[in-house]
Amino acid sequence: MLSLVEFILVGLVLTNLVFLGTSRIGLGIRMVAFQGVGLALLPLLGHGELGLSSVLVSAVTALLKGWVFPWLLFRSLESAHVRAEVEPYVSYSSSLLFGVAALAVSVWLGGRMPLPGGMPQLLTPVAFFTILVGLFGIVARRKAVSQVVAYLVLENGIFAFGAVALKKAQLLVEMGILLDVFVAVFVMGIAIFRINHEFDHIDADRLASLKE
Amino acid sequence: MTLFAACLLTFLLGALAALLPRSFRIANALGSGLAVLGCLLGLAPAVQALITPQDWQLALAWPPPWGLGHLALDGISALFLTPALLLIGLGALYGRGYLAHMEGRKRAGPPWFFYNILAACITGVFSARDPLLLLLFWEGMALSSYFLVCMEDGDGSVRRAGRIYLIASHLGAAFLLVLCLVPGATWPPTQALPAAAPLLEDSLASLASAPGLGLAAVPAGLIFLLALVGFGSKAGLAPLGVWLPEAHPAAPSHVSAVLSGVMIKTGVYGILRVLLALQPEPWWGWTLIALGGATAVLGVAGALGQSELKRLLAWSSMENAGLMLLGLGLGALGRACNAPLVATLGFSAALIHMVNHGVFKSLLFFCAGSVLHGTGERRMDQLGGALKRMPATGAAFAVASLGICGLPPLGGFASELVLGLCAVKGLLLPTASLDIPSLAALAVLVLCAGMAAAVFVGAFGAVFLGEPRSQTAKTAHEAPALMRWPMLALAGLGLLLGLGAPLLLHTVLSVLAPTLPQASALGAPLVQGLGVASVIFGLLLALLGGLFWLRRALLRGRDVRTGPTWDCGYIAPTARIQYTYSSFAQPLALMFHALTGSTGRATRPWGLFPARAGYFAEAQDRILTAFFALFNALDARLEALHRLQQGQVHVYVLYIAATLVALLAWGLR
Repeated sequence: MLSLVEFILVGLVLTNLVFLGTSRIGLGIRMVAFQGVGLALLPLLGHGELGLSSVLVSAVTALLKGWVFPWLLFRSLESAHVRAEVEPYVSYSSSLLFGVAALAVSVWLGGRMPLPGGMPQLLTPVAFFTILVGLFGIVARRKAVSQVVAYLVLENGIFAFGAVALKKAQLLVEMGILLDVFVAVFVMGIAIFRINHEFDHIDADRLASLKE
Repeated sequence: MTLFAACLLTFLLGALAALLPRSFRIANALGSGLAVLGCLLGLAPAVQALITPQDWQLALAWPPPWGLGHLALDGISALFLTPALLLIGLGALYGRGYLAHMEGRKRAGPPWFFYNILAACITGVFSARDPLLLLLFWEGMALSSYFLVCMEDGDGSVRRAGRIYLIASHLGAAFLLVLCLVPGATWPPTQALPAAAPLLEDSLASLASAPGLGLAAVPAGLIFLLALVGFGSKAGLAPLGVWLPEAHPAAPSHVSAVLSGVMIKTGVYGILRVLLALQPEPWWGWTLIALGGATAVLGVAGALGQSELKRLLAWSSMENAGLMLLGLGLGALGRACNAPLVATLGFSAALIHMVNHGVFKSLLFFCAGSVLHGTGERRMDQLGGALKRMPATGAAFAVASLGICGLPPLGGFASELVLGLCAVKGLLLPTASLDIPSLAALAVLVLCAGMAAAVFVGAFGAVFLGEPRSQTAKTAHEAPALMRWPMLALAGLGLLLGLGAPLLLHTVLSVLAPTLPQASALGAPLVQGLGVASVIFGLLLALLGGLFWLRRALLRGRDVRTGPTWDCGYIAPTARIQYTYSSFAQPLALMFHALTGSTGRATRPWGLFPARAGYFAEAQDRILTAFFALFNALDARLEALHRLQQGQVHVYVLYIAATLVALLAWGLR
């Protein structure tokens, strides 16, 4: 079981790196979808027992993260007629370098915060790394769609930690997070469409002209 | 206490109800009517708490983590609340008449919405017993009064005044924020006694263990300073009170009356609470006396240099706030130096003056509003002869001026007498740290009393006596009944305050008794003395009334002719041969021009047949100018920080992320 969890965690790291290095928005969305499906397995594997709640969380997670979010994102990509490139502020190679640095920092931080025994020690660094990559994506990518994708990556990091480390009140927490994210993506999809409609672009940086 | 809760709810109801109707008249009537009803509901418990000192409590049923929802009425709250509610209620009546002429030009709903909110918040400030609740009401008060000040928002100068007011009140509130939100803060603040420390230890230890909250008990001196700046800025304390002469004249008159008559007192109330709850040190008293004295002198000197009636009144409010702070300073000094007589007299002087000033200054603003309503003219040098055209307003203004100058037989006399007595008693005690401040307070008091008399003689003479100086002043008409009756009621109340001064002092002493146990005994001789004075004043008033009646009786049935004022045997007198306010105040204004910033330009008459001569004076608020210069310099210095405000969402997220990661790394170090 533990090795399977670690396998998924390593997959998370690799997809993160792909997300940092890719130039296509579409690939980024697919990577997030992969992460989502992988994460959906975690509640089942996390602590050994197969309850109704774990199965429910897994199913809803897989459905939302693996299918609904990507579908929403692809649809808004299409309807907004966005070019499929990420248009980063930070070049792809620098992004990858940042990824390596963030991984190092995460491992150091994870070493400072050891989990109780019986849990994969890889969990904290990987979850933290995923959160950092998500934040980096929000900061360093120009398009609103890619920022939404990065937001999902960030959320995946939180989810990964929660799915494995939290035992009590798991269902409640997960459902709360999922609902939040769902609403957020939904709203952002609408907002992107509207912004595109009004301004003929969805570059978040050009919204700076709205500042005081 | 049910009535008190009903009072607060009525204000809220009034705020909402005023917004609903589309008709101007209905909104006007609803808004003012519910405000008056709320005041009446609130007055009952306030007066009751004043007569029989007791601690009324109201704990709301939904206490969130910080204990939101604890209201109480003790003697001090009631003493502040009673005149406040009275003035707010009369202001609502007056405002209904005052706003009536705006029908068709503006909506009546928003002003009454904010007026009712302001009323609720002022009531709340005087009765809150939680730091958070106090802060909430305080902010509500600042915001609602800002919108009221800006009611005539079509006028650029009003918007400017509103902006200055908003900035000043938020700077002040920043200090209160610190005062109210430090861990373990209570309202009123409590002295962290060494004996009580073990009890506090547990709660404080849990707070102190949280990272970044390493504050244990806050030193009392710091609390005092925070309260002084935070509350003092509302009370008009120099140099933070610069907003006062800007904002009060800009507001509609019934609001100016509430701002000057009531809201300034919230600042005094806050400082008083702190002084009574903590054990003062001598330097607190020195600071208060120095700042209060500076405020009083600046205020009265500023009033000399003004050309608009409402501005003059606003400056005079600053002077009176300064006198109240002098009283508080002497009281604190008395407590610190273990001189109970000085403490008692100082605090009671401040409290009596608070009541008197509230009544008289509100009345003055009502009268100024009535003059503005009747003539549409703000400048005193364009007015004149209003007494003949608006007799009720003129009589009320005369009573209020006498009262605010501290002349017998009106209420102001008692308060300035007690303050003066307090300073003299302090001077007579053989304590070195009391002598010099007492002497300074006495000097300031005497100077202010004289100059205030000069200011109001000038203002009354320029506006109400003589001949009208302009066409608009000629066509002046008396205010409608809704505005007249509140004025006359307040004038009557002012006379009662003069005759009932011993009763007021007695009430104040009993209110102070919980903190100053000997207050009643120490003040008893003074109560008796004031009683004798009241009898004499009553006789004086009766004599005046008798003379008036005699004059009417003698003139009955005879031919009475009235001629123009300042006739003096000239063939063709003009209104321009009268003294204007600027010319009347010129000698004093020149003497104090370092303080007033007033500059005069005179074209002297020259030759045997002088053709053209004139005198032109203008005053400039030096402190405000200094503040502008300071803020501009700060702005220039801090320009580099503008680069942080990119307006790009990416960068803001970067700030947040970097901060979080840095904090995490620091915590795990």
